[in-house]
Amino acid sequence: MEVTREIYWNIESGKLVYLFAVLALSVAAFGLYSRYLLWSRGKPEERFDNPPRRLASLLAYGLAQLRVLRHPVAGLMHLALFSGFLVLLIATLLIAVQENAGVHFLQGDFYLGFSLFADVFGLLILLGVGVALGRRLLKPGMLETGARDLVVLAGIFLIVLTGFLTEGFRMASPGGSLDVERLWSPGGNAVAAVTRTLVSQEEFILSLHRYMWWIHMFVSMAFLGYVGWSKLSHLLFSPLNIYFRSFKPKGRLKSIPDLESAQSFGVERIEQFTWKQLLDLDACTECCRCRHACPAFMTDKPLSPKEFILKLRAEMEGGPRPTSPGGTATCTDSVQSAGGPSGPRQRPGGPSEGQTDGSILGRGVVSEEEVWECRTCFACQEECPVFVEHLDKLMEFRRYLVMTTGKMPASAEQAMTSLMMRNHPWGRTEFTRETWAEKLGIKELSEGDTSPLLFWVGCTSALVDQNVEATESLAKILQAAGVQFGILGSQEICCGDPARRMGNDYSFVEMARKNVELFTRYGVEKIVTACPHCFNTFKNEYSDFGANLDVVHHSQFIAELLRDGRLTIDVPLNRRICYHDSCYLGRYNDIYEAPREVLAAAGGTQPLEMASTRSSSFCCGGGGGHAWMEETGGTRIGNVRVNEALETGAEVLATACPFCLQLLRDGVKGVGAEGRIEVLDIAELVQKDVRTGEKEKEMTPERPASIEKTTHGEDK
Amino acid sequence: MNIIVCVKQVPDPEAPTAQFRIDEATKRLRPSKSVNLVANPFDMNAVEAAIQLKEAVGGKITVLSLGPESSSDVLKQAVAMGADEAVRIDSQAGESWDSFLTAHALAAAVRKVGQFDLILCGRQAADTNAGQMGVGLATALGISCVSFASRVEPRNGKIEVERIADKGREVFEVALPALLTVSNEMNHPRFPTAMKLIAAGRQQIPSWSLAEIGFDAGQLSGQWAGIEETEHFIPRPTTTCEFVEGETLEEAGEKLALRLRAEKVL
Repeated sequence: MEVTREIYWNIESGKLVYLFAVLALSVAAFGLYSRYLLWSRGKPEERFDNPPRRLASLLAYGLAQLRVLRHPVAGLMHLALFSGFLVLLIATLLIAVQENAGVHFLQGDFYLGFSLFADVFGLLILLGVGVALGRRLLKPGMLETGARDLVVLAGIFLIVLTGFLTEGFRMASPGGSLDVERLWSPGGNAVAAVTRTLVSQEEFILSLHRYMWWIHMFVSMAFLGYVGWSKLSHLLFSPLNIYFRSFKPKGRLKSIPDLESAQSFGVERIEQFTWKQLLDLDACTECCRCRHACPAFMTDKPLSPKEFILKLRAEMEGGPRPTSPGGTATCTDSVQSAGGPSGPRQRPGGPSEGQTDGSILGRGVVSEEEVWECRTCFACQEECPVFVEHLDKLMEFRRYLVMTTGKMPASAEQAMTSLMMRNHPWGRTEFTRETWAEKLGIKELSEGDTSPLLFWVGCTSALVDQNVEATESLAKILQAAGVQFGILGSQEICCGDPARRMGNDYSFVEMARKNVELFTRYGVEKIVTACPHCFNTFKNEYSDFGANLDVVHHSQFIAELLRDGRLTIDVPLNRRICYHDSCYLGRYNDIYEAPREVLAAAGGTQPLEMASTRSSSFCCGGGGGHAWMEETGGTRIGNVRVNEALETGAEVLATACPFCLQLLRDGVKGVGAEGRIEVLDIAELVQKDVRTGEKEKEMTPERPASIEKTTHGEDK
Repeated sequence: MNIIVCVKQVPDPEAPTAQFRIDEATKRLRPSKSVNLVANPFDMNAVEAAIQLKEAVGGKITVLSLGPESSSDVLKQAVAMGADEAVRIDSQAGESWDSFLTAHALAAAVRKVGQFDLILCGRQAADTNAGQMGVGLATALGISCVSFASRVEPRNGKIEVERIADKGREVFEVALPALLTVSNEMNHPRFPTAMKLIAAGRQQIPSWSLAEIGFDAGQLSGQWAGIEETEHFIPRPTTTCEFVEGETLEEAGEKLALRLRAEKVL
């Protein structure tokens, strides 16, 4: 007799399972549909383009779980559960196909393989549940565990357990299986062996099997129904969210389409988000990875990217509505009660008394404080396994605050006012944009000049004393390598990044337009800059203003000069260097190698790596306008980063961003590590006199204007 | 309450000192091309005060500025903050204006605007820091004046004004019309919303010529003995640095405090 699966063996009225399945599916579908109704309140957004690319990303991040696997233990645990369920689902469906299509393919060797496969993955699930439970119980700080999380784990465990018991009881029953099948079903066989030693009456085993079969069915169907009403909905929403993920450059913030005629800016009410932004809220699986990557959260500031998303989810589900007139509540009332077990969460505080502002911020659903705490470092989005986009949403609130209400923290306002008054955010300065250039005898471009290559200095590199030296170093490197370049000097204005990241898109647009005009006037085709923020804005955001530029960061430019032999380093610096990845260079623009290449050349050996590095790099604390804002509360972010650098044993902490340089120097003072570690830009490290290790480099122009030792050939 | 606010565009007072030169011939400040022209900060306190008064009792705010074309930016800024109207009184670059002439020109412009209850000026302009113009304008118009105002509130058709005195504050009840020179203690100028910035950016700021307001500098000569400026210079600050040392932080702190007391700083 050939081995096969006899369907409904020992079971009467087994076909009832289809009725229950339909019921369970309906319950699940109703839950999922009610969520769909919530998102459909959002504004339209085009996320249907390029299906092949979307499918490929779905396969990589949905099926292969590449993002989930960034964390090995949690990742493998999840992969075990995910693949186990996928295999068991397919196995169950195959049995149903065999039953109903009348095709008998589950037999012989194929069936044996099938059986082994299903058993192994079933065991994997049990293992996964164990790891998941262990993580939740042993590391309570990592995740927040509520009853509903345990219910889900218990459900998974019960389905598989009852499955194995059913299989085992069948195998223990007379005529339930062939010996060869038992050999290929390790899980069931183990249960069968135990059963036989404990129970001798065959009749009793048969009834055990019957009961367990039904229990397995009921548990599975209940679980299926629960999918629509719990965090298990991520089985559907996560892949959906991955499919519809953003493919725009990470560093490009959405422009406001009708800026000149808009009546309000940013988001006041939840329906002002797009459907995709609302889908994001449901896609969150509360894995907490975002907040453990968040520099604000990790230094005890009042922002958690996860809570931010969950608060908005509660708002979408119909949290407290404004009772004041304004009529915004009417269109949303119909879908308010779609809560369920994952439904409205407790919200601390709730809308504050006496506030007439019915907006999300006005009611305190999301606090102004948390909106301003974000460093826009992108770590949350880089970590999120299901591609939730936190930043665009947060930025909508900044836009609302700054552009619609004119409210912002005093220090942010100072920077913003300075931007509008004097085109740079630094307020009182000791330098002008051309101070450093005059010292080096570099003239700014003037009417009639054409300069295909522009050295864009940027406000911070020109006006902040800590950075002037790096700027001079870069200019000297360019000169030494015989690079023809122009500077804008006194005509340069801010690139607009601080304004945009602080929510003032109006000023951003004004500055971008003026800059594009300047680039056109001087025939600029390529820009080299040491500031990753300027770099990102030119590269990713200026195309909206008709700029078609080749934008290069100084790390890339110097690396190329070194590669081409236009710049050589004869005597590498004999100091231990570690490199800090700037968010806007690394995570935003995937430039990790160029600065390391430069440092390997300057230092003679590969730079040391900190605990959080490359795409997991920890922000210096200066992004998103925080270079100008007071850092209050918690630990200083820069201090945390400097401590990480100290742990590598490095003597030099190399940066490739003027903000990082400034904030990490503050961090060195903050942790009292002066004398132990020095923060320097990669350009300074390449430049000769820094390599000789002279400590005191006063602001005197005695340094040679060219780098004799580092130049070769070229038209000198 | 109808309020007129007088504002001035000045070279950025936050710009590095090295960017300024004194023109010996005219005794005027000559900023380098790197120095931006910005709104005089005290004048923005005056604009904010006007807006808050309007919010409290209603009325209309008209902003005036005597200056070249570029001064329109400052007027637009005031409009974006919430002023109702703005007019620029056209002066050409290179003309020699002093506080006296400016006060009289603005007085002529105020008469052309017509009815008003209150005039607000910044307490001084950040370029010369003379602090003469507001008081001069009140004199030219023959209205009462409170300088260095740090608080203003409407009180039954009058205003209550707090003023910064040499020691402490003085509080006055002032009948209207009147002029106040506003100090920065009064308020924090608001950040304009984007909608208002966009609207103000589109606005064409009307300008009146000196002839239109009926101002003739020639007629004024001889009315005022005037002040002749004999020297205008940038002070050269000298710094001497002294390190106060101590074995412990407490000891260093104590020594520092004693040292400061010796200098009569504490």
